[in-house]
Amino acid sequence: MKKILNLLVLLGIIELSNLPAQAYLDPGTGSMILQTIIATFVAAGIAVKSFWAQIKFFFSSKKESGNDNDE
Amino acid sequence: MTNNVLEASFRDPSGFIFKQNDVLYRQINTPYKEDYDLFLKSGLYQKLIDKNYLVSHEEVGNFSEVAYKTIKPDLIDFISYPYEWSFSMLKDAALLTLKIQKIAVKNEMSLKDASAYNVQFQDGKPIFIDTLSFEKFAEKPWIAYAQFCRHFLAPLLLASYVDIRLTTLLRDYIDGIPIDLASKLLPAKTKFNPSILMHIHLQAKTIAKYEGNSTVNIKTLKMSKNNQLALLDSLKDLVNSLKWQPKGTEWGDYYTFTNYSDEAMQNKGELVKSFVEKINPKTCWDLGANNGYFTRIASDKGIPSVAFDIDPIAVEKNYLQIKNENEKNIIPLIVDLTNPSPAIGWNCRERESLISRNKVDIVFALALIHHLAISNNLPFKKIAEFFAGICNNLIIEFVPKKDSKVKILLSTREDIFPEYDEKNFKKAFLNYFRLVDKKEILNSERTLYLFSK
Repeated sequence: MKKILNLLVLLGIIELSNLPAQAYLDPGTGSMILQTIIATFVAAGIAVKSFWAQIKFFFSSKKESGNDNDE
Repeated sequence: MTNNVLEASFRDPSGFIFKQNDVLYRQINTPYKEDYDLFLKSGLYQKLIDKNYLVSHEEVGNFSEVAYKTIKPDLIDFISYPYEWSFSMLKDAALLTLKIQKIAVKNEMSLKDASAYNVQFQDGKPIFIDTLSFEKFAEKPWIAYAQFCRHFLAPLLLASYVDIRLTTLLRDYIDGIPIDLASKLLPAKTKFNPSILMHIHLQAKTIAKYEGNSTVNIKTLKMSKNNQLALLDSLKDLVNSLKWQPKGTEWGDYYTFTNYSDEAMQNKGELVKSFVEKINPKTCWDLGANNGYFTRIASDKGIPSVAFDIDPIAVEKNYLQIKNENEKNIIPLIVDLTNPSPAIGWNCRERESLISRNKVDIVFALALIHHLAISNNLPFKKIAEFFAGICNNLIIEFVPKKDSKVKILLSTREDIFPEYDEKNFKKAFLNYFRLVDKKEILNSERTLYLFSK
């Protein structure tokens, strides 16, 4: 775990920032750290999916319907 | 005035809910001024209102000098708790929370908490009730993520992969099912699902690893808006994928296997309807409602009704029908009448017991008495006392020993119920009520009674 943390620091994913702590809920340290890791993988996964979707669209003759809803 | 503050409303320094002269208000304290103003100015409030995701409110005059603002929120017909919800109700409440968080993030705000108690059901749909739960967005991990996993993800996963009855763990764990407990209870195959692996199993490990660790400063953790939205999508996809398709329980196909002929069923419905029209109640509870077939006699008339049943399948069927047909005025809940929801939480007052939540105008106790008296050994006296404590009017069906269903109940046990007859039944209830009407159900052994205080 420490290795992953160090990696994240190296990659600049974990940075210093000045944030006011107004939380009234204890979010749990482990959960906060895990989120950053999960989100990175998921976001990367979405980027890959959208890359392939664009390739498909480029080669297809049909129009793909765009989805920009809030949900 | 502090005496009228609702018992559950103490954790959030932003404000609290209170009652004054029997009207419900929410006070917004000065420290929350910026976030509240942003909530309105950013248009987020209006967006959520327009979609019917959040209870609307009107601003009223302040009752206290320390208040920034005071608002009067729209009321919920009946307050219910997550451990009383069916699978799809919990799932829809979870999805609503995620939708709201996504819209909030896109509007530069974020939910401070993701408690299941922030959601209620109104007009057949889940709705968010905590107007003060929104804070200014920041590029850091979502503070309410762990709470969302405990309140929503854990019980849904346990219901889906292990047993629906595990959702009642929410009653024991008032801040949601601990992630490590969920991780232990879930079958090994869930470790091969990347989403469940990350959100539950790995989270359980990281929570344990960092417990009591003060060397990591979480205030320095950063998470971009994009990544936050990706996390929300991941949770949404996981919740959406969860299914509960139970094999029949005892009550799942109830109305297929009752002993009512079509004629009896129809006549019973007409009688219940005529009794309801006689009383014209403002609210209705149907106890042992099964899929809400008779509850709808009241709710279809616009009477806010609650359909209670012990069987999760029946309640689920009821909810799915409400959803499909866009029905309002009815909410189905899972309750064991012999062990109804107790008061829980701080000082045993935070979340109310079932019977102290409202006094209801009319109760339906149809095809129920024999289950209470015979299956549960409850004397008529105690049953009558219970009903007298919860309602003003009662439609109750007496099911005699010669009824085939009672014969089934008695077939597997000794008949220690010499007092179980109509005479004693009537006597016990006349202690608390007066008899308004009584009709025999055609083509059946059963009699319908209408009692009023």
